[in-house]
Amino acid sequence: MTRRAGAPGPLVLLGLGALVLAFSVEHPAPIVALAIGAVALLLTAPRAPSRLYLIGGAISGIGLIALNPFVTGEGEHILFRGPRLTPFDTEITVEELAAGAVGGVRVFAVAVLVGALLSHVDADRLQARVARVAPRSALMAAMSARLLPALERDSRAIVEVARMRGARLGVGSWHRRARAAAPLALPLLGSGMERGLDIAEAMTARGYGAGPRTRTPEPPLDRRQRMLWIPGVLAVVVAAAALITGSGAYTFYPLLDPLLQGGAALLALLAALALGAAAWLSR
Amino acid sequence: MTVISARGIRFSYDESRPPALRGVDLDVAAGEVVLLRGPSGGGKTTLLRALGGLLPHFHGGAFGGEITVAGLDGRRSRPAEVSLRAPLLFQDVEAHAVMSDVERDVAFGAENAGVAPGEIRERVGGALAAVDAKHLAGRRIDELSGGERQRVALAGVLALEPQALLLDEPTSQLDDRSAARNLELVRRLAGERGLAVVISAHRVDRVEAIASRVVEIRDGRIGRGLDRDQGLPELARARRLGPEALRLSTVTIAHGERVVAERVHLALHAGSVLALSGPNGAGKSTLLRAIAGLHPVRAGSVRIEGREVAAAPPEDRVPALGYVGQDPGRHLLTESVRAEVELAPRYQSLPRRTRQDRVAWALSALGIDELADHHPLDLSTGQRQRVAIAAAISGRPRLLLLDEPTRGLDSDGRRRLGALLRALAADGMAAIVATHDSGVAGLAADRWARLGGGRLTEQRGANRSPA
Repeated sequence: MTRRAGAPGPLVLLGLGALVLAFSVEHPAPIVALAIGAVALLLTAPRAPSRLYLIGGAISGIGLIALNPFVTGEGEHILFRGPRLTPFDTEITVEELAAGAVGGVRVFAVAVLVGALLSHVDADRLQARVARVAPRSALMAAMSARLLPALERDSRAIVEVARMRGARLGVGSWHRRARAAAPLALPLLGSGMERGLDIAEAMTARGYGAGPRTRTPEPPLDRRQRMLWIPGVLAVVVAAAALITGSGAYTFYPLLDPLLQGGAALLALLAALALGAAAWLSR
Repeated sequence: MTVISARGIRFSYDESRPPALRGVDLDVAAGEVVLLRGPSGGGKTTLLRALGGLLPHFHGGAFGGEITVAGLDGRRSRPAEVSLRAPLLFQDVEAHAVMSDVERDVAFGAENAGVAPGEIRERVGGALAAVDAKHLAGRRIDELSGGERQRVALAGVLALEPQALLLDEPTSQLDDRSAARNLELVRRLAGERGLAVVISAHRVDRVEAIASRVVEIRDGRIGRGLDRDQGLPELARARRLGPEALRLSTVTIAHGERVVAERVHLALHAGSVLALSGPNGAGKSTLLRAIAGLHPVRAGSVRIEGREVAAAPPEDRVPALGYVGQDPGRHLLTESVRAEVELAPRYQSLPRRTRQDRVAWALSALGIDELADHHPLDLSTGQRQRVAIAAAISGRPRLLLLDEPTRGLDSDGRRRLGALLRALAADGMAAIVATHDSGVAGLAADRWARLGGGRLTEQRGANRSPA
């Protein structure tokens, strides 16, 4: 039998704290710590971790890193000055590259963190919790909890079908492969819409929304699951501390702040501790 | 006492498409089992959706007529209320599951009905035992085979203790033993509890034994009741074998920790069709995927035309290999049936004229010429299945692997598929068909093998049922 997914309470708390921290600090250290912790958490998911989040996060992050120097016109240390290409700024500075890199790592960390939490959380328990406080939203929660894995399976199946018919998606240069893969976006979209309707129809066809519902008691959480509250609370405390003290602040322009800052280093250490402990407890 | 009453039911999904139901009248009494039969796309699933209170609430469209189900007005009551009294078991069991693990999913309906928590556990255990699925408790739904999912889905509707049951192809993925057991259970419940049961099925041979009445639905209209399935014709079996198409040497395959095939040997020659059977969850799909190079082999080798299958990327296995997995209708790639069937010849860079000939031939072979300009998502499950098979054979593979290809196919579709496989084999193609459909297997295959307990056992002798 496979391992059970994690209880939603502590994981939602952990995710909330980590996401608030990711968006409230600018210093590279806590953001890098969050990215490393998120990858560790994803790799300990009960089901095989999805490469979709890693690849999607990496592509978005790299995109931001590459784009930032051309849409920002700040910084003192000029590395390269290109021709004028309105509306782009072709003067590239060290500060723009650093800001882009931190932004890119942040996007990567958030994407992987969301993927890790979705892979870990027990969707059924989460749906039950949502249904208790907002019955109408449970349908949406159920759909979103199931749609992503279903879409992931469908995208794999669609690629497989296409390749088994001879579509050259796995050979040739990357742009040839990308061109061959582009038409598959449409069937994936169609499949996603059909899946969404199927889930809603199945829930209704099985009586969801007919009236007050009962719930079979869940088995109690084991010790490890209960201990997950500790990193969850720690993540929230770290996020609150960052907001209140402003210790994760960092300025990129016109000159980079010094990297060595005690407050930011402590935030990074505690964030890594929270996510690392969650990954260890969930392994 | 009449439990289900439908009067003059008319329904169109949208104005651009012909009506799916054109004035259907149907009464089903308590204790009665009505078998709905008819061609794919004839309106069976739509009628079941209407009886289950889901039309027009979920699909829009124009609805007319009167439906009463277990005392509820089907048009004015909320679909969820109707569903608790007359639950619908979907044809696509993957769509039926709402929760992630077996016990929670079986309990879902009973929880919605407000059954006391203590009683739900009893009902879940009882329903799983009734469908011979108690051993699946604790498993994740997405780890189950199609047949296992079908049993769990049936347990889910039984746990509701409803007044009527609407079952859409409830045995399409079950082995013969499980199908007979579940249908006997339905017959017994109808008799003992006075359940009104409507079953839609293409495998009429399986269901007619328990049916009180057979109703034919075609082009959205109820036709006359039919007494017996015509069955599939026997075709000449003589064929000449060509060179070796496939060789499995001491192949061991695992699904997670579970070994599904151990030290398997198999050789298949051009012109031969092997029917692969085995109980639900035995690993037939995993074995087919391994042969196609889509699932890792733990030990041994899989060679197609002498070459290790996994040595080439999937796109380079074409046209030596064609593969149609389970539920292929969900993964059609284009905007029209014609374009779908043309994909494989297009990827092979065949001239336009040849492509057109291939498409016309494949559409005609599967009997879907009239659907050529339809969008695949507008088709029924059986029609989509035919499209997926047509799309595979249009590439003229030399080895064709089909996983449960008769799911959703009506008797015409099954007959065509059997005859097509025979014709393709006579033309030099080799095929492996994983199926519980002994009729089609008997029609098409010249070899039979059974997978179970990790062993692949060849069953010698012609025309042997693989059940």
